[in-house]
Amino acid sequence: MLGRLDLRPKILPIIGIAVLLCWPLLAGQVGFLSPGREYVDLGTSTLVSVMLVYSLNIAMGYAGLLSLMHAGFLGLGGYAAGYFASRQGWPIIAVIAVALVAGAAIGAFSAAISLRATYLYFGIITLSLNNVLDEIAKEWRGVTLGEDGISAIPNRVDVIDGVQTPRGFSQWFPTTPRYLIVLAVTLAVVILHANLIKSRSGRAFQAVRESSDTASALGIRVSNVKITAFALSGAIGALAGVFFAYHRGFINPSIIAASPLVLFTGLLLGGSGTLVGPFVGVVLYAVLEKTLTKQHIIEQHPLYFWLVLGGIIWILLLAVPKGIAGSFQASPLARPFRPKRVTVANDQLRPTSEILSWATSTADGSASREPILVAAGVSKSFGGIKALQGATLSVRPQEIHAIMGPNGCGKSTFVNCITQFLHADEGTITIFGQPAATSPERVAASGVIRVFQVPHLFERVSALENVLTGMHLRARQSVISAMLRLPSFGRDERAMRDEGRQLLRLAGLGDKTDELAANLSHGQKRLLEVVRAVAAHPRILILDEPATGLTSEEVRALGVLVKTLRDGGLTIVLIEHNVGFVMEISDRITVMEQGRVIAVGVPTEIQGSEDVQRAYLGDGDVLAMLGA
Amino acid sequence: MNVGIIVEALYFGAVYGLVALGFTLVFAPTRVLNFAQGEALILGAAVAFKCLAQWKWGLVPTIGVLLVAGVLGGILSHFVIMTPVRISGSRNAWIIATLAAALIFSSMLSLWFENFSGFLQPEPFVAGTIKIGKGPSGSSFFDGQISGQQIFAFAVAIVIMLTYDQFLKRTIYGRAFRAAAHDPDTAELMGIGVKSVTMVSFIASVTVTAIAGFAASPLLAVGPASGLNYTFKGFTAVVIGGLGSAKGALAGGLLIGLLETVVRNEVNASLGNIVVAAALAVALLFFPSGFFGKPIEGH
Repeated sequence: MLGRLDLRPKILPIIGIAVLLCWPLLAGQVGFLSPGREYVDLGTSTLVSVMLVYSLNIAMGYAGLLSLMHAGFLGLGGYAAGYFASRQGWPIIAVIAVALVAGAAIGAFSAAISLRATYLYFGIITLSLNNVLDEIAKEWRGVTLGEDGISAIPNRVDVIDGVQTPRGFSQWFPTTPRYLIVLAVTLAVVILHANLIKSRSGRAFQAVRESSDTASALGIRVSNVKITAFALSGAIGALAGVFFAYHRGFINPSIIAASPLVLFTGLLLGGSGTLVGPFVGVVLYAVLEKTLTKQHIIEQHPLYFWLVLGGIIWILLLAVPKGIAGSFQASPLARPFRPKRVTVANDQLRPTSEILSWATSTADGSASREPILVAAGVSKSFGGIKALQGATLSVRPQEIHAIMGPNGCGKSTFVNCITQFLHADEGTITIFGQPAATSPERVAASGVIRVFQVPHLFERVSALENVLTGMHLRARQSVISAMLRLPSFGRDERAMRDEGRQLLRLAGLGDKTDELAANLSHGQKRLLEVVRAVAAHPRILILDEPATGLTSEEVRALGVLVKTLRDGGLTIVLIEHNVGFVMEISDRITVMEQGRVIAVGVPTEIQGSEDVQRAYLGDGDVLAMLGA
Repeated sequence: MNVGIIVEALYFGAVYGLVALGFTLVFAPTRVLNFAQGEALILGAAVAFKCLAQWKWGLVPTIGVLLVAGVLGGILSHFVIMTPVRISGSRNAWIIATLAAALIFSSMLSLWFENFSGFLQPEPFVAGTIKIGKGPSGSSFFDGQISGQQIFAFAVAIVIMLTYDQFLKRTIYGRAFRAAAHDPDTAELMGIGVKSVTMVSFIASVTVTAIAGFAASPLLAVGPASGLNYTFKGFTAVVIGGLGSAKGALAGGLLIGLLETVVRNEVNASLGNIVVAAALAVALLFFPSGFFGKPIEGH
């Protein structure tokens, strides 16, 4: 059902690759592209830029790390080629290895020192690091030869350039081995990048881009993701630099300084965070640049080149604000190329116990009713405000345990302390008999997954992708197997997609599987968030005010889902305002007021408690007025 | 090292500080870092050179032209940069919008001086130098030369900073500006026209930076195409000082000016840049939001 090959999304990439392979033929045959060899070289340099922009796409487009140092990565590879190949006579394979390692190391270092920096400050730090790299290139004359740079870099890519081809043939197909080698490397980079993005790691990148809090609530280690993404990006940037230097035959600081224009035009006009955007953007830029330089007026007045180029980029920015690939994907034109939608028919829905098998199996084993989540004496102050004053909680396995209380009583702070988004000033938290881990992602890994009060969906991807991101902790696919699409990756991915569809169907979102999360209604978004959390296979699920803003119909659907999960073996902690909802579905209730717990018990006990009535409705006079 | 070098450092610091203030003015309500900021400095120098040196006008009409150019430049910058940023809604749109603006403005300035090669450097309009100390220049710390133009540029920077600071603190418009910077959506709901605040910010930003270019032009050797260099200097200053604060812009500018001038004069001409680059990187690690800035959440 799911494994069958769907060719439709592959049509455009296959056409693209065919054109690239035939490019020398086109350049040799079409009259206006003459001389052919010049256009083959244009193809080569465009492909090098494509590689560079894909490396930026990983950092900026997918991981959301604003990088202003990709010119630096380009220079790193370029100087590696210049120094080791030209001055030390190393073979190209060794140079590539050095560049990859250096790019990855500098990338990892840059991300590691700026982990706390938010979007813009991350960009500013990378810009200053870029300046440092630039100054080193200018000043370390022993290696880089200063402002002049290294020239006459031997063209070790063109190992067989000297071979005589029959005259007629080279006219007809004026390729260079260099073009074919760069094409092969670029295609490899693009395909590995696409494979990585459509896997566990790529989903983790995008989760961090959208919200680092959500990512860590799902067990994603945000620091690791940032460092990995930036190291990978740096390595590919440096790889592009090696070919950049080999192709041009020289490297110097000013040619590196010119690269940000193609980097950002290529990425943002093409479509940041899309698989084909960088390619489209760079090709567009190359065509623009070439066409402009060929114009008579530009040849007469070179200064107009930048004015016209700037103007055209500006107009394109207005015309395709989401980038060409982004705008195309959102348009009806893309419809024939979209993958087939797979929905789960009614008769394909598996029994709940099978879908929730991980919880059912553990629940059956533990007959004991010993509490599995215990918080004792938890206090937390913000300046002078004491949000929590010795709050306690004891949750038994397989119950729906509600925490209720008036606004500002400390419910959300309590949950944030339990899940380690905040660190309590005092008190102990025990999860499954162990002291709670000290970071949100470790708490998640120990089997406690939370859903936030405000919807934190990944809006730009489909409902199913959201659920797959939730499976981060339990996905069994290595980076290598994902990049190379090994059989083990295929099995894991198919199983995850299958389960994701079943879970969505279970929550009543079966027909929304391939819908963008942003297009769902508020109620559907809340349900999707619960499904995403469940996909992580938690044993304890914490829901923070899930019913807020839902219609009564949606509240009912949510209640059914929560009860189904409980019956399947999950333990649920529910923070909620809506008293009716809480009374209807909870097994036990903890009531809080002003940072303290004032009552614990089953719903009927709580309804009868005078303390609770006072907390909610004030003193006796008001109660009398209400006829209570 | 002598008093003359210190004054030169203050002079460069004032120029960088005003470019930095230009950055801050636009950044506060828009969260856009304008890569075309340095072009406004060149605009000021170009007006000074054109009016004073080529057309031989007096100082007063030149200042009039400068202010008109600043306002027009601000309106144009606002249009070129904010139109795509508003349409796009992507948080990265500012990068390419301001890069395109830098390309367009820089080539317009270059085209204006197409057949001219050299620096946009009029004669100093604050004449004279002051000799300090009795010995020859540089023989001790207190022996050196200070030019009136340097003092003038520095004084202009101080006056502008103080005026801006008082404007923000004391006037109702200043409060509207701060509100728009803090939370544009809420400010809009309070009846503050955020769009006009943005427009005025762009005008003020370009004008302030153009005034810096004007006041500094006789000593600052800039060509029509050297805007990007000053963009980076001002950028460094504003980041070290802290985005969104006038005090920070001035402090950052002075710090960069001092560091660069002292290193250039005392150690090695080419080392100045690398020291500044490294200083910025290190400063950011310890003060991620600059010395006077507040952390920017959600960006």
